[in-house]
Amino acid sequence: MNAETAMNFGKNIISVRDMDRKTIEHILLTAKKIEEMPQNKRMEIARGYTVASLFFEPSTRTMLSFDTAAKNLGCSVIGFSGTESTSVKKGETLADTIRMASAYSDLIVMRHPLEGASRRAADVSAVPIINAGDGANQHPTQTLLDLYTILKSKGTLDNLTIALAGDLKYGRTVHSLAYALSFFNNNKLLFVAPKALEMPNDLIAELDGKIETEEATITEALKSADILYMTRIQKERFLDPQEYEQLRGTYVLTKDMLENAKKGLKVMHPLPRVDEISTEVDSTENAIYFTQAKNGVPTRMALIAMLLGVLK
Amino acid sequence: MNTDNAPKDKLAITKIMFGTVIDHIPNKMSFKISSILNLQNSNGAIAVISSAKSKNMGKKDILKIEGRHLNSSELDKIALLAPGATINIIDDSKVISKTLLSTPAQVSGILKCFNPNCITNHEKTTTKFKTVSRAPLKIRCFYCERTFDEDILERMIK
Ligand SMILES: [Zn+2]
Repeated sequence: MNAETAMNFGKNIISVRDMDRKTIEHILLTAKKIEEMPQNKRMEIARGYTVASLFFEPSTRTMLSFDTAAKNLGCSVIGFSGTESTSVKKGETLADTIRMASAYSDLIVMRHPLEGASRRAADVSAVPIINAGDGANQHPTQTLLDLYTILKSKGTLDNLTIALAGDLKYGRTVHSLAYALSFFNNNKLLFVAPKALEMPNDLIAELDGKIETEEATITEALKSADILYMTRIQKERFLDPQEYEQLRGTYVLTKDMLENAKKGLKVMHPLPRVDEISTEVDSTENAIYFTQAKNGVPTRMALIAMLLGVLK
Repeated sequence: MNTDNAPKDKLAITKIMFGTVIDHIPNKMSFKISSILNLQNSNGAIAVISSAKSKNMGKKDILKIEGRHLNSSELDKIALLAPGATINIIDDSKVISKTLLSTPAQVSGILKCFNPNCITNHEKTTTKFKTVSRAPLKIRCFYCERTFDEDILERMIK
């Protein structure tokens, strides 16, 4: 597999921690190339290859995106979503499920409720593994599609002010994005979060010296940010439903608020949203969250093609 | 040759013929190390010297274990809890080697991950932890990528 020599993280996509600037740029450039290809040519890229899609925990959105990516490359897709009717339910170990799936496929895409499951799968798999989410830990393809979206709308991944808003404590999406942005030059992160959901200290310590960070209010963020990355405040995180009710309304982005925003500000969101972005924002030129979701397909196509070794 | 690293005070500790002397252990840490090494079940003589005077450390502990040398995973465990300790291997009443322990860059199989949602706590896996910071000590699980501080480390040792 020639892809291994081209990429620094080896043959799997497990965590943003395994990546660097060069690797990310290479992946995003490949995504762009694929996106610009005519559909009939794309369908030839990985024709005859089989992708196993193992969703030990269902996630319709992510599964559909990977499924589309694989099929657009000409791959066939096998696998499962949810473990109800599988041998996993009968107590089969993760290691054995992976060994079995790697015998029938050329690449495995997996989502699992336990942290570290993809790394463990990579220990025993004969084929490349793409982590499509492992518990609260990592979801690297989300990070890459976020970066691809920023790159496409801003033309660069350097010299940007990116505001991360909402649940910064538990949101793995914002953790990985913050980490990935620190590989690039002269970026600044603004953290917009209620006290109870602030960025964890461990991560702040990890970012220290690599990227400038600052706490901000949503009003301040709107004035200076190039990107406002909104996240959902999840009800499941709160023991006290009253606390959730108090916090859920903390950040609601309305069309009025955008009037004072920095020129060219783009609003992103990993979706699904609840009520943190009012629907009237959807039609503004600031909103790019639906394009963002669509960018998942070329990004995942690039990763599948590179790991299969059919594109360098 | 003086093989005995104990301070010359009134504590009478006999020299050992064959065994291990762990010196420069942080004050009071020898009790934890004894329990990790399962010394309560040891056949040979054990001497725990705690709060001994030390020029450099103020107070230090010394542990003497008769009749055995330590294996590499035992040494890794001690190195995590007491970097800076010295291991004196005694044979025929002589110190045949002296090693200064430092925090290992990576340890394998000696710690249990403290994250209940980590795959290593659900499926038989050799755990791996990397040191991400030495002072204060912080280690990261190779699987779930969670970082753990020094204060929790003792409870993670298998
Ligand atoms: Zn772990």
